Amino acid sequence: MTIATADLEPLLDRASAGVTFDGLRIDEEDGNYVLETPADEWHDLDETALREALETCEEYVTNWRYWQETVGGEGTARRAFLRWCEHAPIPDAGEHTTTTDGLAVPARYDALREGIDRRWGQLSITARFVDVDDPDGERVYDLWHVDDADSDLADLEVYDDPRDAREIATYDEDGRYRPLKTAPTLVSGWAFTGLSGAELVETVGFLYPATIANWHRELRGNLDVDHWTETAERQTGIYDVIDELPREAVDWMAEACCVDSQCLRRREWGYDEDDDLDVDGGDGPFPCREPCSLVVAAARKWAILESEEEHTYELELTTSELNQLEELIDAVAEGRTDEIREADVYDGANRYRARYLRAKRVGEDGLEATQVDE
Amino acid sequence: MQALVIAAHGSHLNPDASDPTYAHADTIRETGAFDEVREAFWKEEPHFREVVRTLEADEVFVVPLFISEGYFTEEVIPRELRLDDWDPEKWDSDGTSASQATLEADDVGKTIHYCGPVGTHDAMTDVIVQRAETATGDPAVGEGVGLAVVGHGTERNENSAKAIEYHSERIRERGRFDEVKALFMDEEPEVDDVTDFFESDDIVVVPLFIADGYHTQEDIPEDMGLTEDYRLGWDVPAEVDGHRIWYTGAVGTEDLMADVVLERAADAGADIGDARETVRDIAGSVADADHEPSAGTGAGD
Repeated sequence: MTIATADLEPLLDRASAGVTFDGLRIDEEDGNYVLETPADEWHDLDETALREALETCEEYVTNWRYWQETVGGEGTARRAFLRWCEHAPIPDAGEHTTTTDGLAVPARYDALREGIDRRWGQLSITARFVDVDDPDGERVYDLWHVDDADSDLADLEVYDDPRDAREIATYDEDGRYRPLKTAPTLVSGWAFTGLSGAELVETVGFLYPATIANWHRELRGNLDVDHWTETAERQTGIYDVIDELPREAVDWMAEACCVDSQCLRRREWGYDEDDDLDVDGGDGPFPCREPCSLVVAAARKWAILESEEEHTYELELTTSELNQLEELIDAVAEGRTDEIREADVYDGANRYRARYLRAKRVGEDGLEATQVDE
Repeated sequence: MQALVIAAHGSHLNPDASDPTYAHADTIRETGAFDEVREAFWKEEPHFREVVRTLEADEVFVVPLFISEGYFTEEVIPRELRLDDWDPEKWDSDGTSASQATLEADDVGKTIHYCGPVGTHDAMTDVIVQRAETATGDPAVGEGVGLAVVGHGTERNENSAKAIEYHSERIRERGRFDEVKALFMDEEPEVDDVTDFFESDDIVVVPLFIADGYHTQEDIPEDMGLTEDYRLGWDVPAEVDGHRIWYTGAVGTEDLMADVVLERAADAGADIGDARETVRDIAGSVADADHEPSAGTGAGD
């Protein structure tokens, strides 16, 4: 088997300047070349001999070509993400690299023949060779919903234009608008196949905007986190009030909005730099570096609500009715009202149960409660 | 490498609010004039705050898809982009004359050319005229026809009205329409009384808004008396007080808007080659193919 000229020539062109990449090293010493891979070493090679020697390390040559010629973009988030996709070492990753990363070229080539799967939020990404039988180093990427990992491709809607991802990301399975792209409500039933590296990054950018850039910053240890107080104090106009939200309310807000069940970003911001929130930040692969626009908009509502004074009210309820209020709040908060069966009157959040409670306890002027403090 | 960012408002509630932004970005992508084209939003993602870091280009042209100079273009967008040295004085504008300012984005070390909003660019005048053409299905519309350019008005800032008046005056000077009037939603002269301001039987009403939503699809059609209830839609043209009113929706959805975005970037120094011709071809062919006016339908928040 010989390496295609197109793979070899660009590498030979750079040989005299020295090449060090993914275990492949070529250096010029006294007019001759040194070639080294983790498995072998050659010395005193003239150009013809270098060419012959490189023929025996095809995987290193085609790997060099893919990363240095096709992907390029040294130091970019795009390149780092594509390397993460196949468990390749990421040079500037620092301490954040996991033990599964850093596969050497032969092991990666074996894995790429089968396809390497990685998970990014609700996305499953497969990196594989274009030509499995005779890999020339060119990778392509397939992307689908994790729930479709075992689905037959024929059962999925197949796309190849990254921009189609925008429509997929816009509505949940009930057809409701998804203003938060990292909400765990991405619909399934679609696949992108045979994407180039650049197209994969663009597609992920439409599904989970800016997650790759922020992940890359975190990987390099320069994620710029803006804590609650910084974001809140920066606001103007109708959002000027949000820095008045009480400290404890920020905890409640994070518990309401910023947990894994509501958003796949891992919250890295706290109340301020030295004051973390009590709520767990989540386990997502990509970080949340500051309160998002949905949190800011909701915080405005809560800041206004929290400015009200508390009162003591008296209202008549049976113990079961008190418990039912809790069940109703819980059902709405967990988004499970649609799952409660029509005739399941044993569930306090059942529609008939709620209507009965309203008929009994809510009069024309609302809930029959009396304020008992002055 | 050079990148283009189209900065728009977006919506937490209405999925259609970002449609024009995506459509114009896609048109510009087709031209290949920029290495990267990105949409960014105040209420959607990527947020203004995080858009620049998604780009590889060192030189970034940011064009606000807003109608007038004011709170969003002068305060919110520059702040969220971290243009620390920004000052509205850098635009040296009289309210409609902002072109661009060159700044550094603090978090990424890139050069940002922060452009004036699309709404005040001279090329916007052509888009308003094209909207009159697509609304009537008549590429030569003008003779015997009155044109009303409708804006929000001064509720938030005086520049909002200035932009409407600026384009109305420019169209009036061309002499193409028999009459041209600037009308407003919340100040005199009000769009509610549109027929009082025109002698022409036919009146084309073009709202100078970026996206269709509550104002363009609910308020204005009901206020003008095109329909009792926006949910029932309205005819184009609709008969009101003996006049025929040609009204479709926000001018920002017009395909030629992509040309205004390109011009803003070009004015700021972007190398756009012959992209404007390509955009005008795309916009022109769409206008030709889609000349049948359609009744408006309700949408949005």
